[in-house]
Amino acid sequence: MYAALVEQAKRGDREAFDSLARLTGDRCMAIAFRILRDFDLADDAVQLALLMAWRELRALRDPERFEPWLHRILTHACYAEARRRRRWSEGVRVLTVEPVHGTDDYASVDNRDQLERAFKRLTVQQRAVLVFHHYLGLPLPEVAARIGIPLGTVKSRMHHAKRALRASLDAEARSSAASQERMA
Amino acid sequence: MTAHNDLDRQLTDFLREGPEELPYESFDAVRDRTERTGQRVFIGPWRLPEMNKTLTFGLVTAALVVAAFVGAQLFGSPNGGFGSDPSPSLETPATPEPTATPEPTATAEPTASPVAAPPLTQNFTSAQHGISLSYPEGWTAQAATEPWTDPTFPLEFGLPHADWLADPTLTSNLFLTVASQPIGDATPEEWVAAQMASNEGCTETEPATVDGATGLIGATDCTRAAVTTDGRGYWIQLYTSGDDPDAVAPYDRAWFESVLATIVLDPERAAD
Repeated sequence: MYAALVEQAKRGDREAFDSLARLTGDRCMAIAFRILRDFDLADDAVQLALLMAWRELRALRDPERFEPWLHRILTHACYAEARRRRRWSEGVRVLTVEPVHGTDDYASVDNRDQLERAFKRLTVQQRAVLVFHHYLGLPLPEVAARIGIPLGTVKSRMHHAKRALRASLDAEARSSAASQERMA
Repeated sequence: MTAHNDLDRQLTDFLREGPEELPYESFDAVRDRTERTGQRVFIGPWRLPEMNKTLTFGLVTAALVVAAFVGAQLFGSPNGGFGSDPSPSLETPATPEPTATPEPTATAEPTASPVAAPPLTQNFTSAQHGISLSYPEGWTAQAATEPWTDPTFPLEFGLPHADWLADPTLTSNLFLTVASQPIGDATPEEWVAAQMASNEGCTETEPATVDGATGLIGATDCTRAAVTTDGRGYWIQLYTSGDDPDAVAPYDRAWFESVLATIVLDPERAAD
């Protein structure tokens, strides 16, 4: 799809790479945000990934695979940003926001918040697998190829991620039921 | 609808939400940074997918002619040429000797990889797993902070149950990982066999000794080893992704064995 631009960029054409960045950057931002759940971190990860892609572009052998190749670089940039944040936030106690329990009108918002909290408890590697599979709709072998890990590892991460999500959601549901009983 | 499908649907809906545009300023920032950044020179690939026998023969012949010419210049003339008067102030690193003499046959293919593996100049000692080893110059280390408790080794790059020594560029596509755990009630043979029978194991194995500890190593190109000593089992693995064979070509079974040769096991220092 971008083969001609990639070939030009590989020869050092910065205009061509700028066009590539503008064609692929939005998708990268969408992926990075969903993995990191933080706009600024995602922005930094995308910029880092695009810069790395420019530096390493001559190593890309198949121009048709530019976007999958970029997504792999992006995934590792997300891991790096997550590590960076972890270092900064070490020792900082994160205050969790108690779920708001109200009428049924707010049930979907409540569920979404619960899922957000549960999702954030996953490792960034687990989140990446979920995003590539559930957001981009890629089959698991393609997820493995895109992230650059064995298929068995993708399946393992998927399994552990969903088990952890279910456990978190169940715990929140029990907590919610208990607090509603106390209020009643 | 099952609970399983329900979670999948919720996840898909949840992931649909969120920004889908990179800010304009970010595009501009990338553009500014690429203006100041050059592209890395990539040498290769040596073996082109469509390389035919004639081209191979031509390249090999050309390489041999160049090698013969350079050799004659270096060693053929005692008073002239490149090697006649080496400057003592020129501190170039010693050129590695070729490990094999290429046979000048028409069918010989270049087996040398474009990039040699860096030397094992760094040393890593694991406070968690009671093991130390040498690893390549320039690689990064991420030390384990948690014990390995799963029955068999789960290969999930970067997780805290293992020590990870990774190439700084290829990261999860090229790394060494080590971990250890008490073998519990299992015999050493049972523990080692269980590791090798796991998802991360090797279908064919052969006996191995690492720092005096016995166990199994993968046969041929399966670069994993499991050994036990003093009631503790060790898992040592070299992972190379198949996505970029040229980049990982130097990291073969022989290289893995050279890493194994540097390993010192110290089960008493392991933390559980």
